[in-house]
Amino acid sequence: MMRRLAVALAALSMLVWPPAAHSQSIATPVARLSDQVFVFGREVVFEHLGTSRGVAVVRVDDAGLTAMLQIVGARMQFQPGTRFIVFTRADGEPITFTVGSNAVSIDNASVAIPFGPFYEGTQLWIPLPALTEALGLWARHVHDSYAFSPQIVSVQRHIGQHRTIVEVRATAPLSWRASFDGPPKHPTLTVTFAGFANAADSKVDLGGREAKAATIGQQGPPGYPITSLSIGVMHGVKFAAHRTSSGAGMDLVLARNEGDLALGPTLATPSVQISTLPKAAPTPVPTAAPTVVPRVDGTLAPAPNVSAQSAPVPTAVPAPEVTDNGSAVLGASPSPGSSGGEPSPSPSPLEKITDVFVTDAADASRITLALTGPVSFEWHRLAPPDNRFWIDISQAALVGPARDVFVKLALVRSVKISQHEITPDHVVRLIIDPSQPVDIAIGAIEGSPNSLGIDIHASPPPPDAPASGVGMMQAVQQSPQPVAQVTPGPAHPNLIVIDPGHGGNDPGAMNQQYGLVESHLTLTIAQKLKADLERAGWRVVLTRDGDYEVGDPNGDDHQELQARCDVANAAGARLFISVHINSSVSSEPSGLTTYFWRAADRSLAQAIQSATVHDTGAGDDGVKREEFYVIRHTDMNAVLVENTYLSNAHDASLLQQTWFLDRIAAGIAHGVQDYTGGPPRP
Amino acid sequence: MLAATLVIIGCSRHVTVPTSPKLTIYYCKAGSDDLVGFPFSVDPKLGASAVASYALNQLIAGPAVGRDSLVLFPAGTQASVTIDGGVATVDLHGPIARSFQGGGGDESGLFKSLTYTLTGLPGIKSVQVLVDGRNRAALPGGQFEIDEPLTRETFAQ
Repeated sequence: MMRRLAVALAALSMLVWPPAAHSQSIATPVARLSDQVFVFGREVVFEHLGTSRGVAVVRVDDAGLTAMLQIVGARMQFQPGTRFIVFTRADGEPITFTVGSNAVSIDNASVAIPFGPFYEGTQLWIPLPALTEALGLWARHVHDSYAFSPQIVSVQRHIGQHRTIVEVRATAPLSWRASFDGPPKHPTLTVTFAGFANAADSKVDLGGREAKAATIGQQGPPGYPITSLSIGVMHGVKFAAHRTSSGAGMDLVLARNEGDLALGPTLATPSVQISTLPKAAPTPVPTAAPTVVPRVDGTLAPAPNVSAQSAPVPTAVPAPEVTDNGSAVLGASPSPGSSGGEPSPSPSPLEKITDVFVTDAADASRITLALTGPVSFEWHRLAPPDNRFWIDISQAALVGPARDVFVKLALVRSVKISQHEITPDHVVRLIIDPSQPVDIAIGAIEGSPNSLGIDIHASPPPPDAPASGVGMMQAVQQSPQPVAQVTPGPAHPNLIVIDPGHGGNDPGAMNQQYGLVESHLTLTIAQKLKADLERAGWRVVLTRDGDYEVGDPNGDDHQELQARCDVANAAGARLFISVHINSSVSSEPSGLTTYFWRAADRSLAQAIQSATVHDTGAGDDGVKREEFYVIRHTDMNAVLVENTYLSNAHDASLLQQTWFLDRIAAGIAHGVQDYTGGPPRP
Repeated sequence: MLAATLVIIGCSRHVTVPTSPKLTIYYCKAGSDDLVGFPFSVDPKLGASAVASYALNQLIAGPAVGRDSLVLFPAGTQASVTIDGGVATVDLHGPIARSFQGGGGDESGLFKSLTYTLTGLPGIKSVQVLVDGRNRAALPGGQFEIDEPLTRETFAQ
């Protein structure tokens, strides 16, 4: 009955919309609010912040709201004249607010809020606390300022036969830093998180075998809360940190044996990392690690060198264990972002290979396999003059079909990957065809515990180099000394961020004779490219989906360019593609150019350049290395594409044609597919 | 005659700078990375700042011929230069400081020509660009990062 009534009321409100909204404005005046707002410790400036009925509200067109969403990796979709405001969280979960309704839909469940979005005159306002809570952020109002950060909602212990697991759960994706200090015999492991604690100064008893107790503390200035977890660790105990699949939690494993440090793939899957924390925080939590693998300069560590391995151990997955689920829940928190209740780790016989990609440096190339956990492998080299070698990865399942990985490198002609065996064992085979005699090293990539790297060096192998070998990746471990954050690869390996160049008060280049504006063309191409990539299975986020500035309209060029980078960095994207149209003082230059900055991005630039030239038939100006801001300050593979010249009459006439813009988008999408082999499949 | 004085230099090749008392003003060819060098003679009694200022003014004014195929600073650009410890600081004013509406190729070409011209002078190793007196990430509407000193290596492919 109530449901029918609600539906009837909703239908009635739609019939009378929008006049009802305007009448509502009379009853809900907005008083200006000048409080400071901090999100993840960063100050966000709102032009239109106010209060209504005692609650902070913000205008939906406020650049501060856009900036806040960028920091948390969320985005907003709203068409003026419609009733629904849809936000998509970093974890992909949709949140729908309805103008005039006090119910917000979060993943198809309705949550009551004091009041919903409303109009004052022609301006639409939304209650800020309801929005931030839906985004998984906790709010604190101190001294005329609001601080929004995740909240650590529980710390639970699981004491097994050979290890102790401390589960930390939060309302939103967490970033953390861990360090050891104190005497070697009685070290203290301190893990700090950016966010609030709801039970600061409390203790969790850890039994005394691997660790004594964990103490929860709260630090940081009012705008930048930091929660610390101090654990008194017994002598000789190692630890590994695993991000939960949602990103909103961490599992800390304490054990004496390295083999007990690994967790099943469910808990080890990398997820969101927040990359926009302030530099000046008293206990800085690191920004997201570069999603590009480290340069090939010896950082492939600790590489089980191909010439020095003994027989492999068949699996690194620990045996099942009986757990004592004595836990200390710090407090009930029904936040929609909570990921509590995740099952205890369970062993898995198979690890998945979710992605394969190639990067190159000056004198070496690296092939990286993104995995759900450690694997063992075996490699063989063919006899000269055949330079090929192959690697068989045991107990592994390839996600997606067998494929050729795109490479156009000086050292490597081709890389093929396939599910070589399914029974009796699961074996994935990687066949690498170098263009010359090469030396190789295979091993886990330092800082990326679930990534296997194959480094190919230009130098020929030594005369006594073996023709085969075996190796095994170790679960991530740390010794009692300052440690680095556990840093998986891209948080979202299936996510691509597209940046339509210019916009708002910066139209970019123009050709008035042909009626062309760069910012309009880049947006059109970006939207077509988004559709193409989504059809291919990618998730895509645009830095802007209308004619506006990505950053603060009153901000400077630095703020605007960094805002575009922040979108990709905060989202943990796999690729960043900035779309532009070239222009020159001369009417002669024509054709396409793809720019990169880091050597590791040259392959992506070349793949996109080749495919776009092929698909459009436009002139090929080649790939170039240039110091463009957005491809220097993004953490992932990044390129900037200049798609023909507005200043050239022939190019301009093509840019007027829809089919040509379609082909540019298709060409870039084909380049992405060529480079990546397609999106990873779950 | 004039054509014979042109020195076309690929960006990845070594650049030969005329010895004193000559200096070379470099311009970037539109749509490419190639530089075109125009040698000038200067009074050997001039100090380093005066030579740098002269070179900068010539660069912004552009050559008398062949302008159509070269990337030039927009009309109305004003600039000043100071030298300190091997760093030439160039402060740009005028339309370019309000909005740059060219493409990425022209933008990098402008800074390449500026950097090559000034680092071709004795004692100057790098060029720091200011916009209306301020250190900026890029020109308004531009993409090329200028918040750190530029050197010839900045433009290496």
